[in-house]
Order: sequence, then C-alpha cells, then structure tokens
Amino acid sequence: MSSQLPDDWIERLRAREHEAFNELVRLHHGAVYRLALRMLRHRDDAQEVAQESFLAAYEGIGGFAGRASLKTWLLSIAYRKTVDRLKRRGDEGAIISGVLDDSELWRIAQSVQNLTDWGVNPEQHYSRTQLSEHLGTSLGRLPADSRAVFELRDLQGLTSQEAADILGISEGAVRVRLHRVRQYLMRELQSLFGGPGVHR
Amino acid sequence: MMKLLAGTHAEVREFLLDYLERELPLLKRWQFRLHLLMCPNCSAYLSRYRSSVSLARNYLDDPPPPELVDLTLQFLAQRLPEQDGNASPTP
Repeated sequence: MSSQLPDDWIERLRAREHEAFNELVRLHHGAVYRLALRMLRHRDDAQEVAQESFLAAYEGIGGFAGRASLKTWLLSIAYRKTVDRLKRRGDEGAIISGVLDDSELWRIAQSVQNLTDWGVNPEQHYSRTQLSEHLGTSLGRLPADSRAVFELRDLQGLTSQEAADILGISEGAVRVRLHRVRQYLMRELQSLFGGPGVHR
Repeated sequence: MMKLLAGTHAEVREFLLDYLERELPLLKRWQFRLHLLMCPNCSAYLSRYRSSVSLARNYLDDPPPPELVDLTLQFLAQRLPEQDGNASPTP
C-alpha cells in the first residue's frame, strides 16, 4: 500500500506536514487499533492507545531511521503504549490455562482422524457469532504477548521478522509463541466441535 | 526401513510450523511428507492445525469501525501545533 504513496511522503512526515500525518492515520489506523484491541480487549482503551500512538509518531518521527517499514515502526510504538496501558491496569494478560504437553497433543492427533474436519463447513454446527465469540474468548485466556504474536502474524499477515521487530523479541521466539497459540486454538476448537482426548 | 526414514510423530509436531512455512531443509521435508503418507493420525493433526488457523482468520478478523479514523484525526487536529500555510489534520 505504501508503494502507492508519493516518494516524498517520508520527507513530508519528517517535516511534520499535517496532511502527510492524516494519510498515515488513514493508512495504518486499522492495524494499530487492532493490535491494541487484541491485547487490551477493551474498545475505548484501544482507541485511546491508537490516538496516543499517532501523536507519539508525530513527535518522534525524527527518530524514524527507515531501517524498518513505517508500519512496523508505528506498530512498535503502539505495542509499547499498549504494554504501558496493561501495566497501569495491573493486567498483563491471563496465563494460558494448562500448557499443552506432548501426550495431550498426541491424544488430539489420535482423536481427530475419525471426526469431520471442522474447517470444511463450521457454520453447519454453529453460527458466525458463536464461532467468533468462542474463538475470541479462547484467545482472551492467553497472555497479551501471545495474542499480539497471533494478531500480527496470522491476522495481519506480517512476517515473523516484522513481528519480532515490533515486539522486541527474537524471530525464533515469535515462531515458538505462534505455534503454541495455534495448537491451543486447535484444542479449543476440538473442545467446541467435540471429540475425545480433550481434558482440561 | 521406510518407518525409520519417515521420522517420528514427535518430529512432525515439532516441525509443523517450519514445514508449513517451507523452512525445513529438503531432507527433513521429504521425511515429513513420508511420515504424513504413512501416519493417518499425524495427517489428520496437520489438517486440523491448518483448519484452526483458517477458522481463526475467518472469525476473528473484524475490521474496526471507520468512524474511529475520523476520531483519531480530530484528536490530532486538537493537539498538533498549527503550521503556516498548512492545514491542520481534519477528517
């Protein structure tokens, strides 16, 4: 998307031209808000963090070195603002309820092969609202950092390296967290759609 | 012999993400595929793993209300310093 913008856009941002910042908001508000909402799970707080992030971007644009993309830089500001907000709330996210161990994963593997694949036509069993709510609630049980990895990688489609830059962790750590979140969601869906081998 | 070459169930679960993102070395990838051919449990597991990601994408990916962009522009318009010959941010 940013490739459609004029070449001098970054320079105009550095010169703190307001119209260039308007464009930054229009382009990236969705990504910033969604990351904050995924971590905070509160719409008003997420919108406040989004606003504060754009203001911080305006004030800090001189420090944008251009090594990462503008979107990555902006999301890293939003991530730090969101973590600050979580700390102020005294809520850095609930801990995952029972980490999956290898024997449980194997039980799931053994149990799924005889069941209809829930990915084929899930709305045959549950409404769209029910599925959204179930998945949202399940994801909400994970730590905020894990939700951030999932949001950036699987929902916003960033690369592991981009997510690592935003979260300030290694690419390997992003991949491990992503894998654990996906396995956790698989267990939650297994639980929703029924089948043996799921005990909590 | 084939069983030995095909790797283990634990390896499949360990290297699942690398396999899906095409980051396994060629030999490991080949072993992985062989194992999937021989093991219905792991094959079903991979299918569920993929379905879980796809389902989550379909049902969790809500676009934010468009009016929030306008609210953010209004917020900035009130806080950014005025510029000569340059309009303040407006929705």
